[in-house]
Amino acid sequence: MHANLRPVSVIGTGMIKFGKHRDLTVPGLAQPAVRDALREANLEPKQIEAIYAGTATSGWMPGQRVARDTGMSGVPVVNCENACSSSATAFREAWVAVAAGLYDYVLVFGVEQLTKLGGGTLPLDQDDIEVSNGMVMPALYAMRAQRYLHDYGATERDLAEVAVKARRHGALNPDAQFRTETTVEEVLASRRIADPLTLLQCCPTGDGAAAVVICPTERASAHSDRPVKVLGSHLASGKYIPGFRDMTTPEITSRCSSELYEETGIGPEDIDVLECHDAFTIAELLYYEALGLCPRGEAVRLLRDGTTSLGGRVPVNPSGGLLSKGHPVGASGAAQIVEIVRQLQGRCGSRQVEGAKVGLTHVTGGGTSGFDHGACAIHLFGT
Amino acid sequence: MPATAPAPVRNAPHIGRTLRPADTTLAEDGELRLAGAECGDCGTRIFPAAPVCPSCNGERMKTLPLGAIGTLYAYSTVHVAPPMWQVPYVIGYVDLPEGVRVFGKVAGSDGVAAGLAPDLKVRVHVEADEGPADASPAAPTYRYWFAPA
Ligand SMILES: [Zn+2]
Repeated sequence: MHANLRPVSVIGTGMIKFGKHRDLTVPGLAQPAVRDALREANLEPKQIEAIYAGTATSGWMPGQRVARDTGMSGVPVVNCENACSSSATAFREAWVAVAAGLYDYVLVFGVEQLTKLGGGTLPLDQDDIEVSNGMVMPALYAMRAQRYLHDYGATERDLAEVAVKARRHGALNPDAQFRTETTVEEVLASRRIADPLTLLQCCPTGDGAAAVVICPTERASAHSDRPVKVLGSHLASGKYIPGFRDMTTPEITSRCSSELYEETGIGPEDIDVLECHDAFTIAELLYYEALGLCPRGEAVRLLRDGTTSLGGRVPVNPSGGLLSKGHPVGASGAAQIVEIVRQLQGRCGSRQVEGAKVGLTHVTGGGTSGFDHGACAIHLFGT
Repeated sequence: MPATAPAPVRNAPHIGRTLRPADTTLAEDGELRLAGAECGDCGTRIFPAAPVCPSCNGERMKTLPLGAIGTLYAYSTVHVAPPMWQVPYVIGYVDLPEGVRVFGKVAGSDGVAAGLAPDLKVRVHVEADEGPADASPAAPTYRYWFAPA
């Protein structure tokens, strides 16, 4: 960690149940999550010195609109758009500000209301050469899946098993959009979206919000009996690669995680629990490898032998992940942080990872031609 | 034109993005081909062409005629897409001999995915569309897609 930065801890968390909340507004979605995070941190709204908001599709000044409704208007507000990494980027910027000594108490939240877009695939930039030729996000992941199956001998059943695990975990999470289990047969028989991906292999359309409060570690115990330390924070952007590119290597995730591991001295073998960006089934397998949980081509083994299931060596997406908990784009990064913080606090009930001391959150995304992804943010937390 | 008639393409006229005339070139055999660009400073090759090199910011970009036959790296049949597209359709990445990967619509023998497979050899079809008959001067546009070679 950078020597001139102060240690920072999370002292409050809040999130709403993800799902279809068509009757709410963007501030209405965020407000309960924000209020829960403040209450958990034993802070009055007036004690918050700055707000960092992450969202991709909520229009102008989402942070100010939430501040207006929660007694925090007037403080500096930074609104972050970084596709799926929006609120994880907001968290990183908040961490930088607190670690640098600029503020003591900062609120971070993420919010998204995808139902107002009408469902289906996410709207992408029509000026992009790939989008204007028919690219949609599921197809991008579908091509990664096709190539992974082709190169490493994995099967469509292996892909489906990722969704089965996600739904098994999500069934234990009261805040998840999907709370029922599924089977490989049901996953494979669901509607085709972009071959080989079927409907149940794609994250659902949904709305949600999540919030956290951070402060210097030296002040954390005055606000929480179980504060969780931010052990590391890293943000990477896509590298433009115009020529041939191995689509089974999530370049931005590999680079972001290896830089973070080097920075913190923490390695994949130290991680007890993690939340990764499983927007589609194939993504989770690719990220096992990119995050260093296993060598190239061995992700299916981790899934099959239970390493990444609850009860295994390093449970991945105990919350149900994007596939089951849901993926209100800009809210996902903050929601992952809420899950990992609560896991490290031992508050997760039937989906608790026993004795978890170090956790990781990983979110990436943003489809634009020439990049693996536009943005990637990874955070490490510890007790 | 190619010796064999190209496979039928789904959802014409929305084959895909309209190309600028500069994105195409007339090969010696009389066929239309794609044209990208190569950086005169660092050698980076791109499609479509741009006035500035994305690798080194150099401005000495030269036209790079692209080959007619490439390798299908990966593809997917899309069943859910925005309303402007008629589903199902196939999109994919094709690696050209010049080291450039081009994204576009792909048409198997049935116009969708029949006969397609990763690493298949495919031909780049470039088609001129003369544009509206009343346009003056004539404003041809170009479209491209891939089909098994
Ligand atoms: Zn150059």
